[in-house]
Amino acid sequence: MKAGKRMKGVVISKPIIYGNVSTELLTRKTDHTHKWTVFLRGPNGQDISYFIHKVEFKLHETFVNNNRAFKTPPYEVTETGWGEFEIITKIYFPPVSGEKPISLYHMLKLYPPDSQGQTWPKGKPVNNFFYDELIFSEPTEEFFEMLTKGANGPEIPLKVSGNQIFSLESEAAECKRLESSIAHVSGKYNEYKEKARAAEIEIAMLRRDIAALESAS
Amino acid sequence: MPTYGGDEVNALVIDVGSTWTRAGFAGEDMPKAYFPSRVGYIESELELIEAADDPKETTAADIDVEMAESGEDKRETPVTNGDRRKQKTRKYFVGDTESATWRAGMEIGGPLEHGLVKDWDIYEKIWEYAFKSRLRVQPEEHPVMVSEAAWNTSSLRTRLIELAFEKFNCPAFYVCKTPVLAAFGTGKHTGLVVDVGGEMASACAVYEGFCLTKTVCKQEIGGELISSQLLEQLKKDFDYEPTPIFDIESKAPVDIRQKPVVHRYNREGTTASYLQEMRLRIMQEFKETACEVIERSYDSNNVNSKPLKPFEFPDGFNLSVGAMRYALPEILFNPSQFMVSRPKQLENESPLMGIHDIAHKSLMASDVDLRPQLLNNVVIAGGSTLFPGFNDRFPAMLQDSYPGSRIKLYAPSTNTERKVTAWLGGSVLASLGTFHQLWISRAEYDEHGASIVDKKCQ
Amino acid sequence: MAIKPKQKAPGMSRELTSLYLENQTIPVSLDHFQAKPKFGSRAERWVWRGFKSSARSDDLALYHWTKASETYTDYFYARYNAKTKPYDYTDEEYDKCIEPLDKGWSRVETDYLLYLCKQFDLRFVVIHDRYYSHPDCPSTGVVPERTLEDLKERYYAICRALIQHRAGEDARDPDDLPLQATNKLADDLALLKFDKAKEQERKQYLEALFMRTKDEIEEEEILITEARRIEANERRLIQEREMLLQSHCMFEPAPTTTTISSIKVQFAQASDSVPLLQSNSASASAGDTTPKGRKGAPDSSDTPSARPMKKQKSVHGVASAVRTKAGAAASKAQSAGAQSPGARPLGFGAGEMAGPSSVAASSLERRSMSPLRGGLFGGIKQERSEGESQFGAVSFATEEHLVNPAIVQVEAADLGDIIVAQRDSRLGPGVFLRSDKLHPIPKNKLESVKQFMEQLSLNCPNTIWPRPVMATAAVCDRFDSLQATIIPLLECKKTADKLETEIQVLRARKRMLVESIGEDKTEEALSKLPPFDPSKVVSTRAVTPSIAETPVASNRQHNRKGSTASTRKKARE
Repeated sequence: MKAGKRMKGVVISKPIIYGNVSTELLTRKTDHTHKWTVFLRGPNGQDISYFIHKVEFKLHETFVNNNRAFKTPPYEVTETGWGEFEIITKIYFPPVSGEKPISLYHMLKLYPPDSQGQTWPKGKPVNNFFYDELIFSEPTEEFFEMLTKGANGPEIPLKVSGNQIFSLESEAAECKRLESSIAHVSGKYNEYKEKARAAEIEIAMLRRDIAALESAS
Repeated sequence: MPTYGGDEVNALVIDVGSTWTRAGFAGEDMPKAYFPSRVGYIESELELIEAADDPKETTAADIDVEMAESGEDKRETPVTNGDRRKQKTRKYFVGDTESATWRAGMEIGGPLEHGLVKDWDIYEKIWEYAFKSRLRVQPEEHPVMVSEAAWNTSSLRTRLIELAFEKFNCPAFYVCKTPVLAAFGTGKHTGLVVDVGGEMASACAVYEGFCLTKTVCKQEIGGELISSQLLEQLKKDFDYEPTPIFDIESKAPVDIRQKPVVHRYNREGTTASYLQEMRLRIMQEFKETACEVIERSYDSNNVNSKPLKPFEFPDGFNLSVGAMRYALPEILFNPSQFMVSRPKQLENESPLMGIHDIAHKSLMASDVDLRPQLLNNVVIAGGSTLFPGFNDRFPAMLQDSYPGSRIKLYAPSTNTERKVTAWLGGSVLASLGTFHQLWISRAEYDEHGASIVDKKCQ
Repeated sequence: MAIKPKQKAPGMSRELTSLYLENQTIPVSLDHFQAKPKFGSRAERWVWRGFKSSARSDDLALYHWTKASETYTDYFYARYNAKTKPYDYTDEEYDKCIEPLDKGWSRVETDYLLYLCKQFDLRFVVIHDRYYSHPDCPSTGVVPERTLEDLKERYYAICRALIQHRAGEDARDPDDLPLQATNKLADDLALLKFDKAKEQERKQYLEALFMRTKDEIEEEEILITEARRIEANERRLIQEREMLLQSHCMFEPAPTTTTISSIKVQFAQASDSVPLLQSNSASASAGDTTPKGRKGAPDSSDTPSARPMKKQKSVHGVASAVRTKAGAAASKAQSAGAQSPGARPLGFGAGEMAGPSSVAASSLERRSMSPLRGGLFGGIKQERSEGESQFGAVSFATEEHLVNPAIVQVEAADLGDIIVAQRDSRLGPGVFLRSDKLHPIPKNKLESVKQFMEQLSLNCPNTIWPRPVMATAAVCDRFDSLQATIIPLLECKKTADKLETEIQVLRARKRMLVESIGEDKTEEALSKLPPFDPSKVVSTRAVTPSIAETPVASNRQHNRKGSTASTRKKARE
């Protein structure tokens, strides 16, 4: 289908969350150790299907039907297993957009992070999600309509609550952290620069002295 | 199982040069007959009495004690007045000793001029002498391989084949150009052949056994020129004319550069040509012993620093030769500068080329694709290249002209081989098994006539 | 027969006597007769026999020595009579396919050419040489002055035509020909391709090449060696240059990107803060995100090497613009553009902005959005051009969090997530992930940067390359700039360390020298020196990245090392 005219200079971004949760199976029937769910959803729990046509999760070959496709939300795959592998989440957009599908890659994480491996209580789920934003640059006119009309409600929750761990608050916090780091780093940089400069001066001085001393000796 | 490539059919190879003739059997590594091409002859008129079939010979000179092999040739120049026919006959004396012995009224003449056969009588006499006296063969029994100059003409070639088949009744005949033979003699089938002989210096490109006629380039400078110039130089510098050996009755030792004290026979009947020839022979010895080619360019400082070489002439005159012995061979490279006086054969030619110029001109006339290959296979032939230092000087001069190319020189290793390079090539060629299909046979000659030589001998 | 040894005769030694008298058997060496080798067979008889050769067209019998027993089949060397077979044509073929090829060639001449080809076995050099002098050259019909290329061209044209014709002559349809045949045909034709113009050109080039003078050749040699040297060192030179440039300036990537990204942020903030506006009505006290600090911040431009972060200021401007100030902001932006890069008050209504104290202001804000935006546009355009030209260290004011919660609700519907204008214009059409658009880090620095990030606990775990936890626009931009600052920092740290070690070395040497000379002499020598001028010290490491300097510096050092060693020796003696 021929895509419409693209809107120059227009950029729209939509936040999404993708990743997986996994819980350890307490009763083991097979050699599967964990039950896990991989998903793609909006950060505030809202519907994101208005601009998504299809989502495909590509799992490891050992799974039956390792290409799981969803045309309607929830875009989730729940499975059991024992191994960690890379999952490719491919998002297809409606044809009017004229966009190619985009792939997201993440590692299926089953086990808790090393540092906390010992103290991780049994049954506590291991979370591994990523916040990201889909940037639609120069969308077609129809897609643009779709994107703007379909937006319903705030996309990013204000605060962390329950399931939603990415919020504006967290964003703010991260920004703050980043800024302070930047300041810190730049401070350090200046420090080192000054140090280097001083060192150079001293080196030049030393060299001069040494030359003089050598000629004198 | 025949030897590798070779199948000797007992062919004869004869290579007549301006100064030296080489003849021998194919398959051998040296010609059995090696003698000067300059023959002595005494001319006399013969009165013929009409009636008689065989005109009586009353040769004037009977002083010689020669063997009966010295041939005679009746040249028919009928004088129409009256019934008396006068014939000019010549008695020839071919060979090293024969031609050198003094005889009253004996002239010296050569067969070739400018590299091509001029005097067919002498030429024939040379063949006869070579086959019958020296090699002692019957030419009817042997295929004959002959060499010719690269610039030989068609008419001369046809005359040659006629000579071979009519006069000598050879069963098979082939004539091949000298540069090709020289290349074969050095073991190459492609190369730039530079041949500096007695009379002529020439350069020719040979490609896969074929001489490229367009690249033939020649000039009349050679060993004889150097010898004659040496004579002139001696006269100029020391006011000295060497006395030939035959003329010396007695001599006394003198100090260096002093006028010789010699008694001469001063015989009557010494011809000018004979005298000149004998003088040149002395010069030849002088040239071969004392002369050298300087490595780089001729530089008077360089030359004067070289050691002197003492030389004594047959009549007692002795010298310590210095610059002269380097200067004269320079004629080969720079004729106009180093020649003492311009000989008559070179009067019309200008500019005079040195042999590197000749080689250059020849190379330029060849196809540009070939040039690297030719420069990589430069073959040197001819006795006049035997000057010490020539082997280094010549490629250096070539390299100056072509700084970008790789020049490699091929020359037969021993001195004697270089004098007979062309003959060697003929010997090799006439003993190759694969060559034997190329001979011109008697039958072919009878069938097609003399023009077959142009077709078959490319 | 043994004889009793007689009495020793006087005067004779014992040994001699024994030799002489004893045994009387004198050892004699017998000639060992070498028998003639027996071959078993009789010697062959060889005869001088005549032979004929099948390679000859007549009956010439040449004679040679052969074994009498050998029966003669054919001359041994007749087998070597290999002849190349150039193409030959019949009359019809000639008329049909060759004649129309080239009108410049007559039948007579073409025949002659082929005859020569046969005789000289396709040696075109020789053919060309003998073309006019061959005895069989036809008297009429031969065009004079044919070049070698002409002959070749004609011959190959004939061959091609013949092959084509003969292949097509087969009763079969050309399409029916098996693949091999057609391929062979194609191969043959390809082989016989002869481009006369190209050949002539090639020969011209060869001539020129041949005729080079000595000077030209030498020049060529020099150039070739130079080129090779440069190539060999090319990679090294480029790397060195890059390193020097990096350690010299903060921003790794091209200046435009930084400015663009910062502009991005401006609008990003504009958009993000808009939804914020609507949701943040109540929570004015979003803790540490007060703008107060920010208000004070505008004077950060005073610090000499500090440049206020444009993005922060811009948001500032958007978030807390007072309408009246909007216009001022725009004009400030213009003037900001005109100002020197040294002090850049990112004046999108930055410093002078009144604090977003009043929620009400935000409503004004919204309305002022459009003109402001227009102003911003204009300003930003200038900004950008400014930014493109600047290149230098940037330090960051300690700005605080941009998001201002104390903002009144605003309808976001029509504004939504629209981010207009220059931002991401360079992205081009398509869909991307924001985290993918983070700036890439060169591989060799990846690890160190990641570690650094983790130290600051900023990195999202489980990823190969560093990425922020929540990749929104604001975060990503900051992340980018953080990355961009970390890398030069690491570089600078390295160089500083290097310099430190160098200082240590030099100090040690100075100490040695002082010890060897003695205190007084030291004083004397040092006092003679002119006063040290620090400003004259040319930094060999950072400022001017001239690569030639560093080797010189190290050379000097080497020389000095050598000389000090010798002086030390002298001192010891």
